[in-house]
Amino acid sequence: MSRSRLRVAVFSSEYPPHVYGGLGTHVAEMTSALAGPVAFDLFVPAQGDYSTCPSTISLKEVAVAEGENNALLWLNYCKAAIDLALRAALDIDLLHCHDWMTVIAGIKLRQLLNKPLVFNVHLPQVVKAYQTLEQLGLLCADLVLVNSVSVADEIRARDLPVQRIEIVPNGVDLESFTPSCTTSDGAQQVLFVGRLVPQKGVAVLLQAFRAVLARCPDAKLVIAGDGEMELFLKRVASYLGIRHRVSFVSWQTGTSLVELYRKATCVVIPSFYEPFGIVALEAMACGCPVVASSTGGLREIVNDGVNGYLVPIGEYLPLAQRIASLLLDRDRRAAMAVAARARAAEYSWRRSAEQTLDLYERVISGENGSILPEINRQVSASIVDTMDDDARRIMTGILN
Amino acid sequence: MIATIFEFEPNESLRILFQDLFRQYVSSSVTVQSEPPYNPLRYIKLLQAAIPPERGISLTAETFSVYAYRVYIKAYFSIRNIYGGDYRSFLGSDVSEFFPAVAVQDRMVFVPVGLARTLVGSIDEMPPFSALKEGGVLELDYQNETAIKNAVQVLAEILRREFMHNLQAYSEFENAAELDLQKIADDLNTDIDYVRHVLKGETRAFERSAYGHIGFELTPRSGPLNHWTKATLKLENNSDTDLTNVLVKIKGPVSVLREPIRTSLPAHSTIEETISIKPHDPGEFPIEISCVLPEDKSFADWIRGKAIWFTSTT
Repeated sequence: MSRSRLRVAVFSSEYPPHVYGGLGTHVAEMTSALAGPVAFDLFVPAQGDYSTCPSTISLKEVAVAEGENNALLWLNYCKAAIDLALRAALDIDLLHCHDWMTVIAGIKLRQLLNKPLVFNVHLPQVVKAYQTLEQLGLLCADLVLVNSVSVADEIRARDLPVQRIEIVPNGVDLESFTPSCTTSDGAQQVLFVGRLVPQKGVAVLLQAFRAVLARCPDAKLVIAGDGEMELFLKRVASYLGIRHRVSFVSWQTGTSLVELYRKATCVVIPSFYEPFGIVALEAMACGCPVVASSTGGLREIVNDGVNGYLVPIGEYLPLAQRIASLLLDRDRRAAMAVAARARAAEYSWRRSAEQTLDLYERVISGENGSILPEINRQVSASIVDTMDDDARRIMTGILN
Repeated sequence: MIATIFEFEPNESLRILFQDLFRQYVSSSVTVQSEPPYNPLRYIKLLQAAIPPERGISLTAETFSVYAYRVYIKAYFSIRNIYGGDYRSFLGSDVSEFFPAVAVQDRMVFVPVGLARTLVGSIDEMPPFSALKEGGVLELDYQNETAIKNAVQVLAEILRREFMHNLQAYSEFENAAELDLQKIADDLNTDIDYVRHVLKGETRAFERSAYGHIGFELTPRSGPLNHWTKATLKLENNSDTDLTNVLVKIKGPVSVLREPIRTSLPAHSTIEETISIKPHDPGEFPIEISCVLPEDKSFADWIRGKAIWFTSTT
């Protein structure tokens, strides 16, 4: 059955090369995978150098005055994005906003253009000012998309009258992230990939690695990432006496990241919280078993004892036990590597894109139009009332 | 060895003062360099490393490309109900309150007086930074040369102790006595002159503090899953100090009878304790054994233990 081509306006705070987390990768992969059946107008902050954006996407750079990266900056960004979208007189079928930073633009355009709004929540917010904007998005969207059951549960627990939540997991590029063609040289290399922030639990990994060294004295730990905890973690490593066994190799992307996964005996994800866990998928796609905290989306990706291990959050001795078992048991590791690759293959961007397209079509054919249920309007108004003066003034300017 | 002064306004006389004092009290190899605030990422990482993670404070810094003094610093407070808010931003002249600050290698050591209060609003309940001797920072009045001199003297001793601690920890994984000083310096992120300076006068390469000289051995290292096995825990005190009322902690997926173990360890002695151990996990796993002296009881969770691998049989 042939589909008529949809036109979707996407609002994102990130797009390659300006990527700070999973959001930017998600937007790039999904817009690319859906470029056939969907014509995208992609609104991003004006930062220049979006040279990797394919010509099939109509990129619209939103200029906004520089300032502190806070809720007010993003409200001003939304205001400018709305103006730009209206000037462009877009004939679109749907609006799609990613995370709290851009959702106010979607809410206003939904009202003005009478088109449905899809709101993608990648990382539920805990900072109050950001969560306020996110709550408005949840209340005003015709469809909320999340990447894991864990995030869906977290949103449902807020007890808001959200109209509809659907889960579309992130994918992984199965052509770039592939297992190594050569056999391992036998080196015992443990790998961490991610931002060096408290949420990622890298200090727990360092404690675990110290115990691992008592059993596997030749093991090495590679930490690929950057963040405000870097020097703290280096000091912890020194304190534990293992600084010289730990390589901090900064943030890695592209082929160098793939090479790290291929050389690794296992990848460890010791996070205290992880809404999805795209690193787990990348590692598994490279045939690398994962030892991960039993939290969030990781519990949905990793089958404990089959394609990796799940361990209790924040406990370094069980973490050490699982890491060492993978370093020492070649047969188990080989079996898990095969299972890991097979599991990752279930998460292609193509599959996520098809699921998203199906949801687009269902939302567009929905009967709600732009009329929000009364309860959603009331709760939204009460949320705006809780904002501080500056934010409320901008919000009022946007929404009235 | 590099020390860095992070300055809001250039102050060459302060740099020279620190250079003289560091060379006099810390090591003759210290070079003091100045760093303006325009690229604050390293500053923020250094300050973050002085904040214990349990405080739940995350610092970020960004720069604007068009304004003068275009840095802003932001502190997020992830634990509700302490420090009074979600985040606090510092822009323009507020940023000046973070400077000057002094770091030695990868360790922030001095910040201006009042920074803790500036950062979190109130420090009545919980100051954001650890104390200098606990790996944190000292708030320093940079107008007071006597205070600066005293602070550098205190710092020199703290850095020496931290180096010796790290050297002990390192020696558990490398036979440091057989290594050349250059490798030790490289592995411990310092320079060879500082290693020579600290080790000068030491009759042994490693300080004779108690924790670095307590050895543990457990026999047997295997037992049936979910069944009690009688075992011998050997404790060896190789230090010059008599240790009394020592608490022995055993952590891992095992039950232990009798735990906690309290014992006394005379200097250069070995004692054996009979315990029973019941593994709860199948296969091979680590048990961590640590000794805590009575005066360090409140730091028990932070004292490095020794991992001993145990195998449970079915």
